[in-house]
Amino acid sequence: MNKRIVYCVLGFHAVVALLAPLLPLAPTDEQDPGAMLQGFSAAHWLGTDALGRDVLSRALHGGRPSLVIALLATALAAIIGVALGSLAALAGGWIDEALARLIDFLLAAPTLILLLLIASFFGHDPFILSVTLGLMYAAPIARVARGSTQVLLARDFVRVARLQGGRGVNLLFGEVLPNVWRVVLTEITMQFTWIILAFSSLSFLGLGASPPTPEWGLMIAEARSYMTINPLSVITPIVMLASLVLAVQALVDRE
Amino acid sequence: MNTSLQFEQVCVEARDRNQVVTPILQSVDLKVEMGERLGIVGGSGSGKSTLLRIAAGVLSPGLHLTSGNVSTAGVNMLEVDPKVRQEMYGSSVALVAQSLGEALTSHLTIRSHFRDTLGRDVADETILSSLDDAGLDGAKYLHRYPHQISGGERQRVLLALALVRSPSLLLLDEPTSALDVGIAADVLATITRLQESRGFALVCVSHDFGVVGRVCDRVAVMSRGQIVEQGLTEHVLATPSAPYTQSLLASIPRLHVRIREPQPSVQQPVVVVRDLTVIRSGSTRALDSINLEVGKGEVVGVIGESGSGKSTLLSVMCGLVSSTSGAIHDGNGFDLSTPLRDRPLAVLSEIQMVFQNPDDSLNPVRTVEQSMSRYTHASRDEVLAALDAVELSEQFLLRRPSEMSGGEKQRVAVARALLAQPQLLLLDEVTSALDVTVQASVVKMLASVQAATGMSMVIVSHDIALIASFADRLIVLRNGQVVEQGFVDAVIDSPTDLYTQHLVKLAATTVHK
Repeated sequence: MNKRIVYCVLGFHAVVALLAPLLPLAPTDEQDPGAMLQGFSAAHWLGTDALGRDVLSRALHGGRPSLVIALLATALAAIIGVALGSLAALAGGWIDEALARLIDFLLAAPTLILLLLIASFFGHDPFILSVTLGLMYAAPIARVARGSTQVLLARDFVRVARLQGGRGVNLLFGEVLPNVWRVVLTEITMQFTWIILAFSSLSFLGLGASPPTPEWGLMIAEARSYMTINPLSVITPIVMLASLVLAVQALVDRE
Repeated sequence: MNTSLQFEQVCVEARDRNQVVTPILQSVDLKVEMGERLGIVGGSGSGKSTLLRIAAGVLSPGLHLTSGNVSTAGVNMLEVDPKVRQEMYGSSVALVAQSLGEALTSHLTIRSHFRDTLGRDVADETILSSLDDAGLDGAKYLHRYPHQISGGERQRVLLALALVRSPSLLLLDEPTSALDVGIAADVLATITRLQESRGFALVCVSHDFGVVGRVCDRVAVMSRGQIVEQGLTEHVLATPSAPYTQSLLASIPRLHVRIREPQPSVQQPVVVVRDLTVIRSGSTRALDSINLEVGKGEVVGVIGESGSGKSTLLSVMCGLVSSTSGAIHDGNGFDLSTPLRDRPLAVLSEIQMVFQNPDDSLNPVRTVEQSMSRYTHASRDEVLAALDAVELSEQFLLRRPSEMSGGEKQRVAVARALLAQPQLLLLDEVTSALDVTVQASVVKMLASVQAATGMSMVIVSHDIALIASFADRLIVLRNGQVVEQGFVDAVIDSPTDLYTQHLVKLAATTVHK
């Protein structure tokens, strides 16, 4: 994708997510029984859904829950992943071996099924969802952090640092992390997109955002039965979700 | 005689994205007749490899031929139809590129490589005789994969592959730079024999006058994209006229020319190694019962081919690799088999090490000052004093590794080691990645540092002449064992071990007769 397009799409999503409540849009939960499942019109640019709610307004608000949860979860995943991976590599020996197996276990676990389990236990609490997502998506970040730290630790300048008294966390922050953060950040950004998708999938299955919250996954789930009557009500949230995920991934591709 | 390769006033420049122009070749004139052997010598960045690649019809991306004519076997390979060029490869011109590791395809056997070149229905006899010619017992190698043969054997396979279609011009890029001294000499002898029996024209690029001196009748010396001197090899070696050639020749270490005078041995040791053995991956003995004492102010040279255990010895001495058995302690009796993280800082600073690869010895994200003071907690004045000791100016304080040359990076690495005020400095092939002129200046700098601080040094190298010009005592390692040791002059004058004798003989005949 062209760089400029990527930045435009990302800018659009950022502005919309931040300013959606301030924009002159119809309220997201205002039902218009007289205008259900309509196509585009002057009053409803992208038509209405089965309850007569404005699709445009809901689609523009629909990224906010995903983004908040994804940002929280990604921050948590990044902290846990980087700490786990780099400390494992630094410690070496059986500690590294044990942590590596833990990472493997998390990677092998079927993410969506575990999420479904936890969501059905703890309900729709967004905080618990974020923490769960953060824990689950820390594994790939940890793996990348561990691998790149191992490579770095074998380099000569790190050996010299060790000969001059550098050890432990000091070595990690002084020599390793400044050289691996680009690689790790790319992985973190990739995981951010997976987390958005995972949350939307949960909402689609009815375990993420709860009605009447405007959320893309939920909107797709609600509107899919009426897809033939007003296709815009399904297409719009799909386009919003896909454009955000693709743009973020294209951004890291450029790095 | 017909001309195999001709360059007429060839100018090549590099243009980067911002259209900044750097000249790579400047008015290069060159002529190689059929059956002639030309060597091209120059430092890194002198344009010698670019020249060779252009002769083979390859112009790297970003390079532009701005003027002049190139003719290879009568054809301008840069402009000719790609199909014709493809047909010319192997039949009229063959190039053996520098990196041995990448030149062969790892999943193909030697026989498959020949079949790719000659066609599927080639008879095994053809391949066998071609390998035999290159000095390999063909039957043994036919079904081997590249990773199953050594570097020297790989180079011979590449030679056989290049010559199998009898090209009239063979281009060699640093044919022996990745090989041990002894093996390199054998490969060069094979190249000479093949050239004499087949009569192709040969152009051999090298940074090493020794290589060119062994193989070529004529030599061209390149510096900064220009040919500064051209003539018969013997003539140029004996009476170089260009100042650059003179400095290049003067920089080559010689067996009996000392950069640093040997010191009378002092008894007080800074490190004592007893029966040191390191066993790697099951049963390989990387080091086998090594006994070594390094006295205060003494410089010990360690020499050996790759895999002889010389780098392992240094790593064990500074504590980066742990020994399997044996004892190692410092002058105060502190046990140096203690892991690094359990050593007091005072013991840690006693032994410092400088590594081989200049590109890897400094943290790429830090400035020189940050690298030097981060663990030593040295003040700016101390950093400046250390930089001064390695002959670097204040300007280097804020530079990052990407803004320095290889020689400058190695100087910074030495300066950083000095800041820890070690008693023993371990130097692992610190000059092998540097041009010979830069190597000479770095070694001189090390000599003056040693004289000023009186610290002990252990210097590892594959170059016996370099060690002989610098060290007091010499240790020869082979397969993890010490095969010979003694004072440098004694070892050089009358080596007892066969391998050492071979090394000394080779070094004595390299360039200076």
